[in-house]
Amino acid sequence: MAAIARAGEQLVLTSAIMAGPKACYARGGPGAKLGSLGVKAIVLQGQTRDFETVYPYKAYNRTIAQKLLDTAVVKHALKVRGTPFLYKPSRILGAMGTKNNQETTWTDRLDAEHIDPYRPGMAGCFRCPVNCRPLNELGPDAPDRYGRGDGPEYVTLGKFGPNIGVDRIESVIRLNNICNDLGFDTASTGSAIAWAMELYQRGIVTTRETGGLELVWGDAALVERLLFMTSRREGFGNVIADGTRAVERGHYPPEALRYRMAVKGLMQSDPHDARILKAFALGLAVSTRGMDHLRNRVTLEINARINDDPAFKARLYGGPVSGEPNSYVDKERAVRACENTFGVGDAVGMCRFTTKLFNSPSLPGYEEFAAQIANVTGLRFEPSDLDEVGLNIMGVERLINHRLGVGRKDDTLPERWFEEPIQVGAYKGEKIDRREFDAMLSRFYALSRLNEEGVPEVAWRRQLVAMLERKPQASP
Amino acid sequence: MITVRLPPSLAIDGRDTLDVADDVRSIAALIDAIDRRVPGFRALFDEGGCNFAVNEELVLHRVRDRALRPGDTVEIVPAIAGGAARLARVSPD
Repeated sequence: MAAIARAGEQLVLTSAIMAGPKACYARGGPGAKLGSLGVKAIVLQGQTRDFETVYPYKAYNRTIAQKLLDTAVVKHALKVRGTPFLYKPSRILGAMGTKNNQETTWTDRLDAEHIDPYRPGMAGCFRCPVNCRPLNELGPDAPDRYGRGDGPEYVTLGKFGPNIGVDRIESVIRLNNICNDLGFDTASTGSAIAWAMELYQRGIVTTRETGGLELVWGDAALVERLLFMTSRREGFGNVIADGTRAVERGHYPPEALRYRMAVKGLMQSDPHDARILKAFALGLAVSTRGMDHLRNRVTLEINARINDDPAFKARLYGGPVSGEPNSYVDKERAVRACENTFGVGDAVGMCRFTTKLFNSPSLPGYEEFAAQIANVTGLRFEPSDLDEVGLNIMGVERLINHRLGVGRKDDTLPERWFEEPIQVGAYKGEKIDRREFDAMLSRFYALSRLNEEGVPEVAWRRQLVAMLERKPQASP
Repeated sequence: MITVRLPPSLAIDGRDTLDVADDVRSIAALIDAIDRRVPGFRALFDEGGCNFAVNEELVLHRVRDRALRPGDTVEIVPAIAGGAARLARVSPD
């Protein structure tokens, strides 16, 4: 079953479609879309059964599963504590978005080990061998049903911890459970609240606009109240419910846009501040659906061993990529490779966590996808064919964006990252240099067969349109 | 002496801290020292399964050359990556 909760019913722009206690289709406000259609839920009833395939595929599924389980990040981190293990590396790198990215580090009290007492076990998606979803239970003294649930993931930990100035893990867990119950995208909702808090801090929003609410950093009780208000579009909750559109809808003055951490009208999906890692920054800027790390994140930039092995890195990305994390040199190549691979991973239904290049260089990629497509359908693809499929997916998405008026001017980053340097850590002083960024973007376009406006070149555009107009072929 | 903090998956007899008294002046030397006490650690490093944070500062580049001084605290942080497809082996020196 896929259902919307109260936030979706009230057309909250940061609402999700829920497929479980926490599993959701979240980015871009799909809950509001379903709500606007008057659809509460879609239920599929039936039994799973074997289907006919051209060749047997189950044995190879087991090979793929073993490959996942052999991966160090799965063995040592994902299976043990889930994605919250990522909080510490971002924090000690000085890249943890804090107080709407005004700061970039936060307390160690939110490190994953402090969640251990509240994690009764791990869960997983249907038949996934990884089981990376941490469950939570605050204990017998919890006052209501929000004392237990599913999560938080790293994103929620960041967005409802440092991003809004909350430093108690129990508060983050409780807010996580409330968000899941009300059907919120925690990334966009947490970001919208952090944005409001910074505007309040700067006096751009006052208690006159908030209906008396004092939007001070770290007030978890206030945030809890605001979540319920947002889900009903009640009082100032109606402003939060409009997410990144709050200026456009007249709630905030235009100067508020300077502090909005969004690209293409979508708040940042993850809490990692990308002023240091330039490949992360480029990825967030060019992602077709907005500021989202799941489209092309070159996650392996946070791996010293890989950064120090230029030959291995070149093999991974199809050419040299600088080993220096804060360099702009050749980072476009890594983003291109990731975007292609992840696009194909999405097309075959592979979880991002278990797709090559995202969590590990040794996870299933084109070769495994091609083998299993051949087993199931009989269709033969070379890895290079699939790489082209990935590029085509991005090309079609960019054609749609072009039709909507989205182009180069939108392939950018929040103002803050160009203007304000990072204040802590080994990379103190780091920010995004506009000229270097612009040059990197142009190189990315050239590598991606895009013109200077970020639209597929004419010849390729014609091929894409021809492909889209082609009638589907019958199965072999 | 270097104090090494280990992740739960590498804890020794339930202890997550390791004191390395050897003459260790770089991360490269520390990897050797840890591998003597935690068999398989070098393999974990070679496959890209961990990062190092020195005095709460994450090292993301030229990690083996990172200098260490007595009194430093080094934390082994599980890293994204690692797996069956090994990176090129690097000699201890």
